[in-house]
Formats: sequence, C-alpha cells, structure tokens
Amino acid sequence: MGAKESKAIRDRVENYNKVRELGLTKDEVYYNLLRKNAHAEDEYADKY
Amino acid sequence: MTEETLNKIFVSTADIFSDNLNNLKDTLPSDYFNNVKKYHPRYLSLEYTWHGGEPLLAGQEFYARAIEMQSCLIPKEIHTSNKIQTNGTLINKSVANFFKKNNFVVGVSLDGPEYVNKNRVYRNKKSSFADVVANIKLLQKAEVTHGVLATITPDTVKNITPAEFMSFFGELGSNLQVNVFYPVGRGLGLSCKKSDSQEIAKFLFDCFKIYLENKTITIKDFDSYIDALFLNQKLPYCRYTGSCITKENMFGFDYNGDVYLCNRFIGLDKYKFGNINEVQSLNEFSDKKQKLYKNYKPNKKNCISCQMAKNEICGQMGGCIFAQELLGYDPLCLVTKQLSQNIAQYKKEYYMP
Repeated sequence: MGAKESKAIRDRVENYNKVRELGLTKDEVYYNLLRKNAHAEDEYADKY
Repeated sequence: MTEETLNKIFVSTADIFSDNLNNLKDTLPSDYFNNVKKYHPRYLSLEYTWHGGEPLLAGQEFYARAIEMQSCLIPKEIHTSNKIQTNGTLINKSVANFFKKNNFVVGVSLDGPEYVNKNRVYRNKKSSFADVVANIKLLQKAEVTHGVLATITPDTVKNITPAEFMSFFGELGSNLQVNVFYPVGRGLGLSCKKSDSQEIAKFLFDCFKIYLENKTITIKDFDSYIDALFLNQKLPYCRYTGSCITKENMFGFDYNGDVYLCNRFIGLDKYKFGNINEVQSLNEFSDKKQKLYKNYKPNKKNCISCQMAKNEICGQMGGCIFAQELLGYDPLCLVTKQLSQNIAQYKKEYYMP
C-alpha cells in the first residue's frame, strides 16, 4: 500500500529540516518547537 | 515539562491568593540569582508559571504589579517570561489585552463540548462552558499566545467519539494539549485501572489518525509522537528520558534556593539535596543525586515490549519518577505504551510501508 499524504507529518518534517539547516543542537530544536507551539508545557498545572 | 524547562530557574508560584506580593518578593532575592548564575552561567532566563487554584482570582492588578516588580528586581540580562494556567472564567477583554501586551502565554482548561466538560462548573454547579469558550475567543481576537488543555478521563472516552472530540477543538480553532488525568490531586478517587489506560490509548489513537488525515490545529502531544515514531527523534520530555535522575547537573530550584531532584518534588524532603546558598559547588548535590540514582529502582515492568523502549526513544525508566513515587507507576506511560504500539503499526501499514 502506498504512503498516505499527511499535512501533520509534512509540517514536522519541514520544521525538522528547517532547524537542522540552522545548525541548531537537538535541545535547541526541541526548545524551538515547543516555543513555536506556544503551549504551556507544564502538564501538571492543570491537575494540581 | 521538557528538559529545557529544567535547565531554567523554575519558580512555582501557586500560592498567590494573599492580598500582597510578599510571596513574589521572596522569589526575587538577588543573592539567589547571583548564586545560580555563578554555578550555572547558562541560566539566563526565568520563567514564571502562575497557577493555583485559579490564578486569575488574584486579579489583573496583581499581575500588573508583578510585571512591575519583575522589571525592577530581576537583573536585565535575565530574560523573564510569564505563563498562566487558568480555567478561563475570569478572562475578559481587558485581561486578554493585558496578556497580549505583556507576552503572557496562556493555557485554558477545557475538556471538550459541554456534555464532556461537565466537571468544570461554578460553585453553584452552573456550567462554565459557555463563558470559557467565549473567553477563548477573546484571547484569539487579542492574538494572545495561548493553548487549550483538555484532560482526558475514563469518562471522556465514554461520552464522546474521537471524531466529535477532534471536530469540536478544530472548530474552536486554538492549539491543543491533551493531558491524561492522574488519580492524584483533583483526580483523586477517579478510577485508574489498566483497562482505563487502554481505553484512553484507543481514544487518543483514533484522534491521532484524524490528526494525520486532516490537521486543522496543532496538537503538541501528537506532534511529539510524529517526531518519535515517524522521524525517530527522542521525546524531549523528562518523563521519558529519566533525565531528572540520570543527568548529574539537572535540578529543580525552589524560590528560597532549596535544591530538589526536580521542581515537582519541591516540599518532599526525600528528594531535597540542600540549599544552593550553603554549598561551594553543585557537585555536592550531584554526589547526592548519584547516590539516589544508585539506589533507585524504577518500575520497568511496562517497558517490556514497549515500542518507545524498543526504539530507544525513551530512557526506559518506567515513566515519570514523581508519578512512580506517588502511585508506584506512571499511568501516562501505560497510555503511551499502548498508543505508540498502535501508531507504529499504523505507520507501517499506511504511511511508511
């Protein structure tokens, strides 16, 4: 079966390639992804 | 929480219900910053996460004064940012504009449509749903950086289909973070059987498939699964890497300089290493951490046959150590295990044969 098209995957690949081109470290890549998503990442805040 | 978060000074400001800012003042002693900077020159950012209770009960004026104090008391070279986790009921146009002006990142709790969001009610038991949705729209209009946090419970998966869930949040139009409930804190007393984890994993898997087919908003958690299982990236969350205990120079700091395994353990003496103002070098804490690590026995039962462990995406530590301390195991790890297995199989069949 052929590979399906997915915007969600394409977005992540593009993002990953972009930050790799910038020569960022792995930590920085993730940091930027998180900042871009702009979520409050403290998942506990909602529970306590 | 990410590893990057742990590389910052993390100040928890849960207790903000007093009518003055003494608690905030306590978080800003210059000696503390000087000591942290001495040992960790990398720590050049300070992130305030305001939560409660309901942090907006303190009022907009409280946060205006907090911003003022931050700009007066925190050394200029330290970048300061503010996040707030709210139930959304007290947001109005003025508050939304204030958040925008001061670059607050806002998380609003909303679990889904009204019939799913039934636990979020006012004191008089009236549903807060309509108000919260209206106030999320205010955040959108004011272009505040924000996200919605939906907590998935066993009840959620019984009352809504994945298609309805995804459709609701897609129409709402804000980015989403999906939390799986823990049977502690406000979740205390809720059932947390293995079958619950399986049901939740199945629900999230169906949502994930919809996300792959038709992404309309960003769901951070699902992006993490794509990173891990499609792009072979390690998950950045400490829960999966066990970095709080394996990395010798990673700590959580309380406002008074007390040093813990991570900020989740603040207040638990077993995981307190000492005070940063009373040592010559952080190596003293690293030694204590190594000792703790040597004697620590994570519950790795669930790591067996887990896709994440197999692909070395996680650190095979049985999940969050804090959760293991409280419950003996990490329920989210069970969900992750089931979900990652489903996704890996699905990927093989449909996306990367």
